[in-house]
Amino acid sequence: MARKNRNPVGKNVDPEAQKKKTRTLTLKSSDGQEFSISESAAVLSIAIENMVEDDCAGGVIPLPLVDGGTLARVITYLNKHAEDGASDEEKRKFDEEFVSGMEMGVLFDVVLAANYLDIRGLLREVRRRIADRMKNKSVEWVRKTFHIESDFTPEEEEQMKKEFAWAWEGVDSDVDD
Amino acid sequence: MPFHLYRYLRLSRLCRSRLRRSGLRRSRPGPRPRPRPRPRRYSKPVHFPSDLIGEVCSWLPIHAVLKFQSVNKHWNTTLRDPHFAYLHYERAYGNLPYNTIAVEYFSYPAVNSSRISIQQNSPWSTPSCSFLDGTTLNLLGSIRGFIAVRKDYLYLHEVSFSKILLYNPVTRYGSQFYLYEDQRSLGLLAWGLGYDWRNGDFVVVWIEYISPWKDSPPRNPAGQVYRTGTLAWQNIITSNDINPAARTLGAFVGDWIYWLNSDNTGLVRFTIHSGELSAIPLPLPTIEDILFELR
Repeated sequence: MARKNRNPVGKNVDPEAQKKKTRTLTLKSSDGQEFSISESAAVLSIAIENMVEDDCAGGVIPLPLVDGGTLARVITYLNKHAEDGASDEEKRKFDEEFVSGMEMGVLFDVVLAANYLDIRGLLREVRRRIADRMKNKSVEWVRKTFHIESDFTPEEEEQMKKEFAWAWEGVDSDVDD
Repeated sequence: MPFHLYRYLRLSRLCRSRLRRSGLRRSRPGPRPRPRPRPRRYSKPVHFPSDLIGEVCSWLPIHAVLKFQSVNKHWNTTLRDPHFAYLHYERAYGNLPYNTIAVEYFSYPAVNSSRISIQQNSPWSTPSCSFLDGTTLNLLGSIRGFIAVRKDYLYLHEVSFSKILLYNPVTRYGSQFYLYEDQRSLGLLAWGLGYDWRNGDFVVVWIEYISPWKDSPPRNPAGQVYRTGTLAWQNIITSNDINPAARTLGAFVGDWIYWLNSDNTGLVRFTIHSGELSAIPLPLPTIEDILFELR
């Protein structure tokens, strides 16, 4: 009995993967916006993948810790990385552009969302970008950006500064770029 | 003229603002103050989880890590944590251009000869410095981000005992342990420093043998291994035909410490978890082997 080839383009396409591509999930952000995303893209997030595996992804998945704007960004990332045609080089280029235009606050939101959704690649990329931005900044800039109060006495701070005086050299201006 | 208007005329701008600040009601209703622009979302305090701080800072170069230790106490403890040090070390390790090493190995001229020969008669010299109080520091190398330093205490121009210091440059703490309990000749001794991944012990190995005259075959090898977990020296079972080259520091790879053997014909391997010493022949690489490895 000759089996009819239903998929003439790719002969060895995994039917499971094909099903994933067509099935869509709906993600709901904290401010009530809903986004639909194909399952193959959504499972790049380990948290969502676990939900899908446990069969509790029916209907709408609420994400109470992620707001709409951030979720839209994250979904752009997921869609790009789940794309079939995209080569590794293309993806790397996309990652570079994806994080390069972001403000520090947006980066924080994205890193928290990626941490919550457990998206390894995005998390890595954004962490690197944050570190890249802050590496030549002053300590005051970091305190301001991370909303941290110093709990050292001025003497202690002076002591630490003296200890690694070379580390303090070559600090950029505090103007956020 | 109503009184409140009169008062309004008399008061300068500054006075009015002072009045307002002191809590007095304004005498004139006036235009409603313009609503303040809503604070931007990002100016609200972001709670940044501590593991994310560590993860983000692990991508920083070392000068930035040292600088940001003084942000606050929480950052200070996070950035001085040994786990952070390890993470930071791992990132640096992952960024090493290991491809260049492979290429250099590939173009190594000894590949075409029948045997790779390694110069062994050069003295084992490590960077060292001596102090007036009779101590000498020798820089041995690094294990897992720790810097290993051997400290020799000299007495009448002879080493009376030595210590190995493991120094963590990030936390700036270290541990030390005695190497010799009694005086030993430093001459014909092979050293090894390693790390036991199973229980997190640092391991120091020495193997010593007697050579009655110059270039004579070594005899009566003896060796001991020290583990920081048990804090005790243990004897290693040795045999006459397993002799690591003298005055060499073993290369620590994974679970093993390797030395070249004393007549340059092979390697001596010490397995850390089992404490076994074994001789292994040097492989003779062919060009096909190397091509296969590179693929």
